[in-house]
Amino acid sequence: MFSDEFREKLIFLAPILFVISILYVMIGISIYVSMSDWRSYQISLNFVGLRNYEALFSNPRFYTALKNNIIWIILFMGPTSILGLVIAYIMVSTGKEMIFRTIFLLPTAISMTVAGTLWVWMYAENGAINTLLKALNLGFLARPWISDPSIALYALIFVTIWQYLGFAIIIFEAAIKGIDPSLIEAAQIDGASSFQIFWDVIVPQVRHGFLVAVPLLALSALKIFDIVYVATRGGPGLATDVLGYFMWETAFWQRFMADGAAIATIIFAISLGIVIPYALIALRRWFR
Amino acid sequence: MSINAKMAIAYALLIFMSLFWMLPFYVALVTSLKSHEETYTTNVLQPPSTIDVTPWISAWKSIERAFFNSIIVSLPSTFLCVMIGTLAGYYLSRHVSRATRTLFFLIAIATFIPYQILLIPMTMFLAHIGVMGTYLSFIIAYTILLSPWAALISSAFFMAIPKELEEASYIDGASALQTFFRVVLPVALPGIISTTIIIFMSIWNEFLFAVTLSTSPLIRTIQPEVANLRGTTTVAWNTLMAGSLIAILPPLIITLALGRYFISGLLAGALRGTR
Repeated sequence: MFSDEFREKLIFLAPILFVISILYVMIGISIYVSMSDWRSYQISLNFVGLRNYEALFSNPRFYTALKNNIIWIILFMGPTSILGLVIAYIMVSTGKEMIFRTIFLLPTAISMTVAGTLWVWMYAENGAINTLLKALNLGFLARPWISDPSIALYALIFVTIWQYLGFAIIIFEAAIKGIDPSLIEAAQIDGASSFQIFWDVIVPQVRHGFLVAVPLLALSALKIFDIVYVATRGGPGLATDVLGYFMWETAFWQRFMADGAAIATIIFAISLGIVIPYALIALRRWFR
Repeated sequence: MSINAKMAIAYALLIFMSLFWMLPFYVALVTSLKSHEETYTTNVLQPPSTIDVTPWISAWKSIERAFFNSIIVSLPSTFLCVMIGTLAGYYLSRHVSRATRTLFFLIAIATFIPYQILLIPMTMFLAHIGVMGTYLSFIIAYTILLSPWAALISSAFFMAIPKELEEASYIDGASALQTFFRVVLPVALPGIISTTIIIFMSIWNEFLFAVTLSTSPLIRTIQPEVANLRGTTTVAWNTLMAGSLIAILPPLIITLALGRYFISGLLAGALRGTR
């Protein structure tokens, strides 16, 4: 009945097509729920237009969470990728990258929930950070890191840098190793210093490492949830509140599903600005 | 500056960074082996005067069920994702057309969008088919969420395998499916291992869906259980640290034992290609 070619296509692609269709339908449902009146345990899907968005845009908490997300993206993406590149370069130049790579990868391998838990203890009043600062005669810097609203956000951002540095290192290590060695040799013959080689040869050559790492890091910071849930629940006050946590609390704690869906839709809309160009670039690399 | 001096600075920097990066693990381990009293009376950085394993025992008692729940949930979901993913990934690597490029694009979008947009409809769907509150809810959710990524990761590895291999098999009259299972999969094994590791670790570490689908303590998986331990004020730091270390044992062991596969999986998973 079917041609062999069609049968083959069906066997290989039917399962993924099924999954992908479910996912895209779900995106549609989410957007629809964001325009419904579902605000209790009881499902209710009457269309109310953009009312939930109007409510969201007049809620100051939304702007606090959005601002925190933007700060998170900037202070996470920049340092993680730059530090990742620098460490990868130093690592490769020692020739002992095996051991160091493994060390930096361990935080990447564990869950963000546990990473958050470990760091809540690190940041505790008598925790490792304050103890170390006191031992180094820097006791005046000791503070209750995650219960101080002025620094809690930055303390959590640091944890995500700690977690994702290993990922950035791997991306840049692969990019550095892909550079034609003759470029580096030529610079060395010209008498360039290691710093000049790094700046004039390595950095321009690992552009594509940035194209891979930076969008993925930005996405991770945009959807951030786990660590906020486990470490601060958005507090103190709203100091560490982010869209991902705001969404979850609204939908699954207060049971305002429609309002939660509206926040999810905003996160999704922002993410498309990163995901679509990223997928297009990957597509070009893929089918070269 | 001489080469030796430069190397010395490079090593000093790397070693300092490495030590600082390992500090949370060290502190967790040291704390988890201290008695309740000693956690409050001694310096956090100091090793325990006598090793006390009771925190590990009480932590294991409170998270044992969740640990096994996570295994029960992760293994079948990982298997299904890798199955669905490799079938699609293989096809994508062997057929380049407008249609496959579009499919690749749609899969990539589905892989990288934040999970928040899928959370509410997924719970509606799982409740609708009547599996909420069972292991099946996790297995179905994770299979749907992660098979697209498995397709992309495995496809990167299949790309690197020369097509000549299969041509011989086709000449012998084998079907595409036979060729896939008998000829391609064995050669692609390292790539399949990488894909499996990445998917397994993503499921094991996932939190947003885990906390939402864990509607009862009976089916609660490991990450929400750890978050729960932290939430209850009665749990002491030594027990919490022991519990945290138990929860990260599987990914840590995989990274230490199969680091090479984890790394190539991460690179493929970032859609960077395998080279």
